[in-house]
Amino acid sequence: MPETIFSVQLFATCLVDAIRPAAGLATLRLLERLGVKVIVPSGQTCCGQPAFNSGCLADARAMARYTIDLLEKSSAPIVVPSGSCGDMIVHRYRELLADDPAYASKAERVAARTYELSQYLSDVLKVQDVGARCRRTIAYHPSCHLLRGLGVRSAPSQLLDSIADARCVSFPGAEDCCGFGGTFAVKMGEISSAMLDRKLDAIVESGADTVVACDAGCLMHIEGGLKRRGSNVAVRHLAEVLVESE
Amino acid sequence: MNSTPMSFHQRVSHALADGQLRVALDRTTERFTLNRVAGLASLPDADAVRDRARSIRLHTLSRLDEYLEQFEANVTSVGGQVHWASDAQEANEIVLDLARSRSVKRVVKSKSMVSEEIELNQALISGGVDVVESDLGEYIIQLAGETPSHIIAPAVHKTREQIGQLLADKLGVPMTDDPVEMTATARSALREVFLQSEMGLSGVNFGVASTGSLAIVTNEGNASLTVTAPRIHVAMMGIERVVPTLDDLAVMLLVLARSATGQKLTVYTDLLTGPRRGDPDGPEELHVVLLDNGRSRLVGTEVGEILACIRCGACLNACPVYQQIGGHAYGSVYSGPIGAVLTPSLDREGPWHVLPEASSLCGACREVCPVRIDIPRMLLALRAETVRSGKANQWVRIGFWLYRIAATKPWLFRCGVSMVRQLTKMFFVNGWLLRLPSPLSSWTQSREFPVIASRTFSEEMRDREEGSGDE
Amino acid sequence: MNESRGAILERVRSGRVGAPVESRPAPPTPIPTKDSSSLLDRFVQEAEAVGAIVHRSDRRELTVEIVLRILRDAGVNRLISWAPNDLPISGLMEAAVDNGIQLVGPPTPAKAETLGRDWAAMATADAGLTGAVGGLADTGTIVLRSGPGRPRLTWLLPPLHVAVLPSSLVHPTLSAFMGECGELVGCSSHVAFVTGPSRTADIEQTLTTGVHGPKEVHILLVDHDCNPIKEFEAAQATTVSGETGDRMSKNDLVQ
Repeated sequence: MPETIFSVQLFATCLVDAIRPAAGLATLRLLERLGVKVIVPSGQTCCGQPAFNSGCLADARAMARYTIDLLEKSSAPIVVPSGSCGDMIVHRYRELLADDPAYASKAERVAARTYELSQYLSDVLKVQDVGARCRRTIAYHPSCHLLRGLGVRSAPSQLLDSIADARCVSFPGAEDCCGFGGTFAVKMGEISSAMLDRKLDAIVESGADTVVACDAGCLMHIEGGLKRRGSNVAVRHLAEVLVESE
Repeated sequence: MNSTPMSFHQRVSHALADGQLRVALDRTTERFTLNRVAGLASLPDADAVRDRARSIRLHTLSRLDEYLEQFEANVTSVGGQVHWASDAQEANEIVLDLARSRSVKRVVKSKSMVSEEIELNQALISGGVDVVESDLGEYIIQLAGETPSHIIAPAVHKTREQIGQLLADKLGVPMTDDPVEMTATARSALREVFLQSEMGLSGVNFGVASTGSLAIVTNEGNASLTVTAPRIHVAMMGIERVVPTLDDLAVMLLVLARSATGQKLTVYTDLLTGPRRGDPDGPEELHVVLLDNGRSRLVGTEVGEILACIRCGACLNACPVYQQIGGHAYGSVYSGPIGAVLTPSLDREGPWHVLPEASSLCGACREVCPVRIDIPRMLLALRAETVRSGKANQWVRIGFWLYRIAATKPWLFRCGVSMVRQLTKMFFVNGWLLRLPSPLSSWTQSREFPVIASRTFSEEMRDREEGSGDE
Repeated sequence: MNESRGAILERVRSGRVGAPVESRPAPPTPIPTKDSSSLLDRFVQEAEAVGAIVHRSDRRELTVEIVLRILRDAGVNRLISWAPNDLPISGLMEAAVDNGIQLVGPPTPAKAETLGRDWAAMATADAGLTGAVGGLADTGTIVLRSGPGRPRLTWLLPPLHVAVLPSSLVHPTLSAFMGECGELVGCSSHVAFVTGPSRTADIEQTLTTGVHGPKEVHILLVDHDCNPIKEFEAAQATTVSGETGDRMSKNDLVQ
């Protein structure tokens, strides 16, 4: 067993912070359990993606600079329990700040050491079985920025497959967008709801009792829809199921 | 380009409420999607081919003026005539002039998105020239007085019963819902049209610069007849549809049909080089109308890559938004992801800035595009342009400005979150908000909204820090 | 209009200013051609997969017999045919006439005679008989070239199309064909790549055939000696052999 000591910074993201802190706490607990030293930089707010997606580039840049400064205080790699925020930091920061002499190279540095959670577990820690156990039938929903933005295809499924006593089920249209898309969910509410309906129909049909995703945005959208339907299907962030042990 | 009188949101509501349209869209897009996968799988190295196709398109666009000049020279040397049209009006005038000066009473048309973009049919009809669409789907919607709802399958929104009734009403044939019978009806009705129209008007899939050839692909053979029987052939072509050589054309043809319908090649791929040369049939005159209509202005810009599009329709089939709302909701000739970029880009002054918003940026389009166009990137560029030009919703701008101020001052962020939590406390029901105020109310029309956590993650972290003094 | 030409080109040029010129992709490494029998087998397989009916013949008499049988079985009374010098087998057209089939369309002499634009006679034909200037094995496509004595309406108007294709003219792919026969394309007014019978799925995605073009396409793949196709001696001289790389040009695409 190599003597490397893993040390990371945890960037929780604004949605995890305010809406789903359990996912952040689970991420922290999971990493520590795996022997990783976790720093949680204080003063974290938002990566700036919502502003960026709405075309408010000046606001997005301001939030990007702020976040970069926060994350540059340490040289440790950064773990983000969100595919969309991960994609923002890894791919969009360097583009947004390419013409900013003060931040261009910082953005590159931060991008180069930022990982989405399942990516970090699989590519850096090289673990699949984190010792989790729970009796659940799980439908995994890959978020678009995780799957197509960061290219993380198999890591989450491998981690879920390794959970003792859990069973993973597939469903049609698993890789289709759930319809959240940030402000899209409100700006194009009807279309977003129609997309969600299709996703929920497939999940309910699959017989799963739990939906797992790596993005708090998808989770709040899916959970909001399930609650409106009166469904008992549980909704969990990947980190939350990975720290379960019955 | 004209938009229909309803607003985008009205069209969307209309489309979402149309159960029949949804069934038709599901069936069509799913079939095309599966076929596309199978079609590409038949290539030993589809990724390499797509890379080549992209490279050819981008190379061409980076020397577009040179290739256009070469193309023009070669078309002319084989006896064709090239006309350049800066905009829709000019293009329509060119075609109408040709029709008048050649005493054309009727034009038979094969599919041309460009001709729909410039509303050529209306211009010809107003000018006293009859126009008949020959592609079966286009023929059907022409009879119905509608516009196409999909690039490849224009009548996808119609059921067989609707089509049967339409043919019965317009052609006086007995009503049937059998596609085979309907096809036979259309075949015989259109035969006369092909053989007796003075002018045939087609689109162009690719113009080959090195030979001055026009490549036109169909499954029905209607384009083949359109460009053969009438005395005059007019080919409408966007200036970006040129490829350098026949070898390049072969690469593009490798991906076009596979991406569109999953076929390895469409039934008819016609390569036309000049008018007839001592042939017993074929046109006496060949005219190519090169249309700009906003394309030249895009070269070298952030959305310039959209000119690489080969109009296969794969992005429409993959798009979860298109799958829900169909083509008409977009309100213009080009729909789906390609339309969301192209329409506002070609028609800067038009009412199109809502189109780039109609996307969750899921990236499915980019994954399937045979030339790997990064549509999400361009949608974001268009959104940013809307904000820069002052056309964006002011509440959104103010909202993000305030959000940015809070997000760059952590104490303010904490206060803000705390305040919202306090304010919304009284509306919670079992930990969920059932109704949000406008403009956020569209969320709660179909979903509950989660409450702000009683202890946020950062509050938890601060508690621990204060408690342990370790971190 | 010349103003527009200048304005359009100028706008394109100024858009390009400062942007790097994207280089052309390098030509791909060609795949060695498989042996001829598997090439032809592939052709047959692909052509049948798209709904064409393929027949093979290794003797001149058999070829004539097959053509006559196809026409007879379909009840063909009126036939459009390419001129005799444009068909790969001599005597085909004459055999049809001897069997009571009436010819419609351009008269038999090889030199072009325009028909005016009265297609009415040709529109009554039950079948069209052509040769072919190539075949594409990976898609089951036949390649037809218009010219004096080779009207296009032959393969477009009638509900039945019979094409006689010398097997020596079958190429592995479209790229291979373009690589070798590109010049031919450049000097022909109309080159058609036909892959199966005319079809549409525009009505509720239900497939129907014979929309505007033929409903039935028969390909007669002949392995015996054929007439040289005029202006195309080069292709005739190329035989499908077991040699690798022989038939692929340096511009060929990896398939």
